[in-house]
Amino acid sequence: MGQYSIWVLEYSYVKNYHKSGVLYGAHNEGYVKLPYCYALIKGNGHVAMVDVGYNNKDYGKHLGDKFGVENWRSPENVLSEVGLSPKDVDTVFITHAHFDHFGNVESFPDATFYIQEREISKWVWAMSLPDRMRWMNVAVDPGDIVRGVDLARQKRLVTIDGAKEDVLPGVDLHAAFDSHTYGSMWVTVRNGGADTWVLAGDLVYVFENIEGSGAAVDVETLYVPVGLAVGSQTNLVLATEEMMKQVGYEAKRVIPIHEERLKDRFPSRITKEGLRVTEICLADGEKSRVS
Amino acid sequence: MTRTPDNAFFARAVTIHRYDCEAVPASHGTDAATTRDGPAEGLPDRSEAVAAYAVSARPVYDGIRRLIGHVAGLLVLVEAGGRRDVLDLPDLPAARERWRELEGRLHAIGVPHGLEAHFGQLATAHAAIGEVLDEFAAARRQRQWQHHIDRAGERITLAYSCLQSASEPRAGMTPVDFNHACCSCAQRWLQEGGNNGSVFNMGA
Repeated sequence: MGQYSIWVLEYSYVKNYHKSGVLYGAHNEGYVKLPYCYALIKGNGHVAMVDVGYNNKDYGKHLGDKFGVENWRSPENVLSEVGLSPKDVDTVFITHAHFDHFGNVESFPDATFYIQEREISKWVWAMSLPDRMRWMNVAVDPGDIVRGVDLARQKRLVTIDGAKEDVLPGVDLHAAFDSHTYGSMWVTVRNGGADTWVLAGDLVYVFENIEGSGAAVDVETLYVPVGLAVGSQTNLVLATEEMMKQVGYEAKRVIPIHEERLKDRFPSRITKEGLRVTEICLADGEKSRVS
Repeated sequence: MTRTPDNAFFARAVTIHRYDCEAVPASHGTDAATTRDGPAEGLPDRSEAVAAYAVSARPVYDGIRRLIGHVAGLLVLVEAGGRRDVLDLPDLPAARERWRELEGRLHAIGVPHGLEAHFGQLATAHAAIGEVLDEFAAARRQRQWQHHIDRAGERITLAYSCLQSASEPRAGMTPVDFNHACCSCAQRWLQEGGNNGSVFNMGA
C-alpha cells in the first residue's frame, strides 16, 4: 500500500496493429491488438493523468476508416469508471506529442500540463524541414501544438528540460531524448520504500520490449526496443535500462500502456463499453475499482 | 461503391503519385489506366478540374499544416518557457520564407467552380499565418511585446481552424500526417480498396 493509486484506462483500441511497430525487427510477424490508454494517478490530494488520448471529433472517422481504431470513448465516460471526472484532474504529464497522447487537452479544463521543452522545439525544427524529410514529423497534429499555445497563454503549460523530481510529492519526470520521439518522457511514482512504478508512455509498448527472448544470444531475456521511433533504438534501450534501475529491475513495475496483456499481471475488468480498466496499485484507504 | 473513371484518376493522382510527379499531368484524359476504368470520352471536364485542383492544393495544404506547427511551436516556447530569445531564432525568417513560397503556389492554383470555399479556407489560413509572422516581427522590435504574442496566438488558432475546415482525408489533406505512422496499415487500407468515394462535396 502507498500514497498513490494508479489505473490504466483504455479509451479505444486498434484490433490489428502491425507487430513491427511495437517490437523492433518483428517484420512479417503479423498483427497485435493495440489498446489506446492513458494512466490515472490519484493520491496526496491530487488527480493526475499520464497523457490524455485524442479527440474523436477531430480524428475519429478518419482513424476508424484508415486504421481500424474502434470504440473511442470520452474521458468523461472512461474516468467515471474510477469514480472521477475530467474536472477532477489537476495535473497532466504528456509523455510525448503524438496525437493519441496529446490530442485531447480541451477535455481537462482545470489541469496544468507538463511536457519536455525539447518535445516542442524539435517538432518545430522537424516541421521546418523540406518536404522530402517529412517522415520526421510523423503522427503529430499541429492543432495539438496550437492548443498548447492556448494552454501556455492560460499559464497551464509547463515546459521542462530533462528530469524533474517531486512535480507532485513522490512523482518524478524523466526524459528520454531522441528515442520514440525527440523529447519523450516517463513518469516515476515513488509510493514509499521499494514500491516504485514507472509509467513508460510509448518508450515501452509491450512486455517484450523489456523481457524479449534472448535465446538467440544465449541469455534469458533482453531489451528489444519499440519499432516506431524518430530517435534511435539505442536511446530506447538506454531509457529502458534507466527505468528498470528505478524499479530495482522488477519488470512488472514498468507499465506499458499499449500492452493488451496487462490483464495477466494486474487485476482488471471490462466495462459495459467493452474497454478495460486495469488496477496497478491502490493507495491506503482507496477502494478497488475492478472487483 | 463503384469505381468511376473520375475518382479512379483522382485516386492515382493523390495516392500513387506525388503531387509533382511528371506522370500526373500526362495522365489527364487518355492514359491507359483511364481507358481501363472506362471510356475516356465520357470523362467529365469538371472531374479533371477537381482532380487537378486536388493535386495542386494538397502540397499547399500540407505546407500550411506544417507552417502552423512550426510557428505554434515557437509560440509555445515563448509563452510557456518565457523565452524572448526565441524571437531571434533563424526559425522565424525561415518560416517567412516558406510562407512566401506557399503564397506563390496558392496563387497558381486553378479553382474549379464549387471549390471556391475550400480554396478560401486555404487562403485565409495562409493569410492568418502571415499575420502571426507580422506579430512576431513587431514583438521583436518592441519592448512591450506580450500583446503581440497574444495576438499571434489568436491568429494561429484561426489559421488552424481554417485548416481543419479545408481537411479532406480522401484528398490526402489531413491534420496529422499518417502516411508513415503505421506503414503496413496504410498499405492494407489501400489494398482493401481505399476510399473511392467522391472527392469533394461540390455543394450539391
